[in-house]
Amino acid sequence: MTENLHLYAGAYALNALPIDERAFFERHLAACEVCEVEVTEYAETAARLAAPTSQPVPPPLRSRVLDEVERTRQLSPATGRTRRADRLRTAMVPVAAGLAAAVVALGGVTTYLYDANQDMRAEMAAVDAERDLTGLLAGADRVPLAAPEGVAAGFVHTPGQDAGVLVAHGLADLDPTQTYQLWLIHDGQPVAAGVFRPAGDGPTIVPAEAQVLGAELVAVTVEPAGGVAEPTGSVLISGEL
Amino acid sequence: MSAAHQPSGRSRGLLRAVGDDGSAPQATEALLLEVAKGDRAAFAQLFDRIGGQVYGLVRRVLRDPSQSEEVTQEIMLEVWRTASRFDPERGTANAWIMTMTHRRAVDRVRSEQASRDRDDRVGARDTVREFDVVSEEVERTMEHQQVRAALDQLTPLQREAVELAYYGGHTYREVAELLDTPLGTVKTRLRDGLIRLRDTLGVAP
Repeated sequence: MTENLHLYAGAYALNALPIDERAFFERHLAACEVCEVEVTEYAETAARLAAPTSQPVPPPLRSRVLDEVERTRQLSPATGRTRRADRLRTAMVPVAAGLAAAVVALGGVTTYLYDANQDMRAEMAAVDAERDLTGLLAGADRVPLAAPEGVAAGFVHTPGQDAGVLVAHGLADLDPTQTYQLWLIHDGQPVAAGVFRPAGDGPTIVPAEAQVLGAELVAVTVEPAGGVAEPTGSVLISGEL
Repeated sequence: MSAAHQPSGRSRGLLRAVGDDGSAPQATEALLLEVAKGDRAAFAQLFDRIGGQVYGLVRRVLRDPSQSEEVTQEIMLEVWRTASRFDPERGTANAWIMTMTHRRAVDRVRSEQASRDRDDRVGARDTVREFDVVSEEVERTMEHQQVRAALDQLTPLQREAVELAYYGGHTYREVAELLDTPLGTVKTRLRDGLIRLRDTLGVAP
């Protein structure tokens, strides 16, 4: 499996992985030094390909940027052991932003997830297996869900029965003006399935408050406190049922 | 951790990326380290050195001039904001900035694509042809010729795949469809292509 993931290094360095696969590869990258070295070399190589595209910068753009710099605070240097984690977190920001846009119509994500590569799914399942939560419901299946770095999530449900539970580890606390909201998507239409806050310790467990039977997709977004009728925020967690 | 400790191989790549202006080999790294301390004059200098490449690559991927300006501005401000996170031991300043650039441009493509009908194969093909034409016009400097020559060393499939991914901003899945080639093949061609380019361009291991 590791060998297969290895082959993604080229596509990753060229930013040619779809958003969800990129997130999984980054999870792998954090633990694989061989891939890290490869990716570093490929990134150096890819950067060289930019040279022939060089074009003069429109002068107003230069002025705007230099003006903006005057009023933009710089990040303090990362120190010691947090460095790597920061790098990964930084890398995740565009992922979240991309997903947010991708999911203006949640249907878009269905396509992504449907396409998700089998190798990646296997890797995801392996990661999730470490925190195996299956068995919360007797005879239930646990569907691993795509989640950001540091978060593991699954949806536990019994096929043919109209009930399901989201189980998530590692969700960050939100600002009081925000909430997590669970969605079930039926025929491309998101149905609100409950708002929740992360559990302080252990897994966050959220029973779906909407019809599970027949849903093709489950997703979690960040929304204004109290929740909303239709998703407006970034999709953090998602997967097909 | 200082730029002076960089392996010499890295600066070879840098020299080519920056141009043979006789300046110190680690000039871009040194500038970036100054920028990290809040030196706006160093940032202006860095902008003049790298801005054309950033803007050019964003335009190649996005096409739309006003969008490209917007994204270029975001990227250059990100360089300013996060300059302290640049680690010379992990690669050249050029690669750090251009990696950020390419990712931002591609993320913009992806987020727009998600809300749009995806099937524009003809357009993508044209993108590649247009790249060939444009690049003939601009390949005047050593670096351009080197990159062009390195691309010429690739097999046709490697080259098409790398160009569609890098200059076209396509995912490997889209590349596979555009080239009517199995996913696994595209994945390995992208990697093989990069390995060959790395060796031809003399990017240090």
